[in-house]
Amino acid sequence: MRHIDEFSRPEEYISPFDAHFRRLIRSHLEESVMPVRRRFDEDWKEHRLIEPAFDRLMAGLGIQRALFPVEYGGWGLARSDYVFRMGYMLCEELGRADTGMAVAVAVTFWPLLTILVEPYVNERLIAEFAPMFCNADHAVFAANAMTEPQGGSDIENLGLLGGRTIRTTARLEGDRWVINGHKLWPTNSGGVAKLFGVPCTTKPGSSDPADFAFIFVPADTPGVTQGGPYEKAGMAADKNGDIWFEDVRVPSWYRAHGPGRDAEAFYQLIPFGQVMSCAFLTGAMMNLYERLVEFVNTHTFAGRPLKEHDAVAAVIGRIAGDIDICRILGHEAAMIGDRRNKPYGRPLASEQVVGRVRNIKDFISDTAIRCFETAMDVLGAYGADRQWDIEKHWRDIKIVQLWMGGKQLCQMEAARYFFDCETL
Amino acid sequence: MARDLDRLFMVARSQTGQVGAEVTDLLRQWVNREVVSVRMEYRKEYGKLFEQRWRSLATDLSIARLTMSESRGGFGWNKAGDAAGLARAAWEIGRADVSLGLLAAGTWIVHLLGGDTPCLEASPVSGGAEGAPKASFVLPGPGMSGESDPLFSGRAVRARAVRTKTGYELSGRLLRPLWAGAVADVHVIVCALDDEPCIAFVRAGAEGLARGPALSTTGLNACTNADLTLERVPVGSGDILVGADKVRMLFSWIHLLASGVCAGAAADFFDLLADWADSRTIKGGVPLKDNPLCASVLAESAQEIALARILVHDLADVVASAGAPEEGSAERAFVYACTIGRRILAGLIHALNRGMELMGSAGYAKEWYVEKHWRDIKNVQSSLSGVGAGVPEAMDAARFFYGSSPR
Ligand SMILES: Cc1cc2nc3c(=O)[nH]c(=O)nc-3n(C[C@H](O)[C@H](O)[C@H](O)COP(=O)(O)OP(=O)(O)OC[C@H]3O[C@@H](n4cnc5c(N)ncnc54)[C@H](O)[C@@H]3O)c2cc1C
Repeated sequence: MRHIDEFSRPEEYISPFDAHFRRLIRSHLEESVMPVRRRFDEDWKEHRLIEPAFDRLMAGLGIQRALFPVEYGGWGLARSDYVFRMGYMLCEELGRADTGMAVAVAVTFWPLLTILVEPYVNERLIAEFAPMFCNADHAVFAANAMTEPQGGSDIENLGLLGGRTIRTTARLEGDRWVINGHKLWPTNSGGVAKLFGVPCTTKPGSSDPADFAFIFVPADTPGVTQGGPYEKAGMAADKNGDIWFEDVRVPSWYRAHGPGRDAEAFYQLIPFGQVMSCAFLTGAMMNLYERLVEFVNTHTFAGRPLKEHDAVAAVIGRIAGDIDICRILGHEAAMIGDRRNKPYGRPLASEQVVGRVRNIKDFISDTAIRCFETAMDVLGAYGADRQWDIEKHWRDIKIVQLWMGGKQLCQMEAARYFFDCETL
Repeated sequence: MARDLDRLFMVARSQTGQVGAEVTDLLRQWVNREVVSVRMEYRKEYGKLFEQRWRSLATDLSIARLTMSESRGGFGWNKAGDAAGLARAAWEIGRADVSLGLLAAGTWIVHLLGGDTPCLEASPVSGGAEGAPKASFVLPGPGMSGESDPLFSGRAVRARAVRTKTGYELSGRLLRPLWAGAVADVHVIVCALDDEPCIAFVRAGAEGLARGPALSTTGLNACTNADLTLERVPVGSGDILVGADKVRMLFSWIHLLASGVCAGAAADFFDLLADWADSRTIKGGVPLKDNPLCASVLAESAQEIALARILVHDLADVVASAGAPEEGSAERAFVYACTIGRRILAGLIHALNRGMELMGSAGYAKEWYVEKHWRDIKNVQSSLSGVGAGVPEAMDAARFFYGSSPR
């Protein structure tokens, strides 16, 4: 039987550290997450099981330090040429175990990328926030609070709307930003995050990128209120809720970069988010393969092992083939990100990168959903049984298709890029 | 907005009778009052309210009476020809909750197939005219490596019956019902008697019957499932229906009524999606339903649900035709039922997937109820897939249409 590591990926893209880190993370997850993940759904509110698992992963293994420079006790990953690919590896392994945990970890990095990755580096803010993550002996989370009650897609649709629908406002008063607004759904909200990255506007209704601001807000700042977590179809390890900002005051230098550059730094989060979404999906698909292998070897149809029945073999062969193709595509998406500084690459905030990466994520999420649905039907009366893990992944990954502006925005961005559409 | 779902998702007039309409109206009012208009409360207090609603269906509406014979005080919808009326009723209850619909359908099927079996007569839950036993169904499905089971069209029959002086004894290990194994009053189990397929009706408290721990499943959370192990469970001679055609009819009824229930749930999903589409704006103020791309996705979702309803009633005609004395009618109904049932469920899952795409995170939140329909319908689809994602049904169709003998 093949091993999951044999699913294709362009080997020349892979970091020399990949094998070592992958082994480390995989064995950690196999020991401390995979044996308990079936109980995560019931733990969605309390996180009694999930929180200690995060502590071991984020603080124990030190993953929450990964992006920060070595001088602060970090691993310096944000400065690496491999930041996308190493992120992919980490998120793929996490996705194999539990995509809810994967997103909670990845989103902790997400807002910080706006100040850590060249060419958008803010040393003063790094020095300010690094200790929060690097010196902690328990898991510390950040959140990227984009979505608002009237809609998340429009805020991410920066290319067309330029931030004009954002209702969360930032007003400069002396040396403080005063923030007011209501966000909902961010990963690691619901009382989890210690730090928020908040996209907001300095001039409501404006689509001028100079009026877009990305401001960091520590969760314990007066005026910040968080609601409890929502109950969802899956992704129990990720808490999502409401956040209200009422006259929240933070130092003026908590703004990531300033007029114009904030919008660019924020826009580059889109490819990061989409590439890591691909990694969650291919990770989950690799686990799907592992579980499916077991089922088709131990169950029969017409008196033969399922895998030896020609018609069933065609179905499961397609599933494994799709996983193989998606993995290649996911790594290509990561590589598009890591080419950002190369003469032959494109900046992350460019339409080319956003359009192509959104397109790949759209393709992989559709394919993943199809594979999981088919696999559940291969298992028949066992398909809906949590003991086989496939149904849990299916519930979890559905949101990967829906988040970050939804499927339709992916299609529109792809059309914009490939056809030069001007009005979509 | 109050939508006339019957006008939107039409059924040919020829397929609905006057009696059916009265029952449907009654059920519709009950569903709207007891579940649809209080969805939030129903969801929050699900464990408690589900049982209340089930009791109300069973006793206030005497749901089981529909398929009981008139001589036993029922409505007498106990013939294949009553399939269309039952499909409509399933659709209505499905709008409320797939689990409620499946339990109602299960009761009907038990009475349709086993109406005169002593097991049901003696059962306290079905003793009175109101008796609505919760039923679970163990159908032939995947076999286990290392075991050699008799086959029913390639599917393994993992329970065996042997004759005794007074009747039969039934044995089988870790049998997986479609749903409701942990909560059923009656287990309807396809078993093999000298390699001949048959259906056994086993009461939940029967000696030698053990239920495994409750399973956590994708959906159908009120129809908690559990594996069944039977060690020489005594079954009366009247509690076994012998013959492949009986099993084929069991498959046919399950496909018809489960897809009817799921189509009803999808119609409720439509209602929720339409509410969302009425109020949501994108692109800084364009109503979502007026955006051409979103409109096309909304359309696709509604088209699938509309088609599903039409197919449910076509399938009812097929099941009705199985009552004909003509040889092979049960086999034909079985092939068509599996084919159409699969097509309906695939279409519904597609409809829900597409609709959920437009609801962003709201569709994923339990608060909106759409994700429940999505999980429930997927659960039904996988359970009815038997094994191999439709391969057994494809083999049946190849046999039926081409005379193939796939091995
Ligand atoms: C588990 C989870 C984690 C999440 N994590 C985060 C997070 O970390 N940070 C955060 O800010 N949010 C997060 N979200 C929210 C999520 O990203 C948003 O819900 C998503 O972006 C869609 O926004 P919306 O739900 O407001 O839908 P809307 O913006 O109202 O969009 C609804 C639908 O309209 C369609 N649509 C939108 N724009 C267009 C267009 N231009 N053309 C055609 N169709 C269009 C799409 O189909 C879309 O799905 C998370 C949600 C979940 C459930």
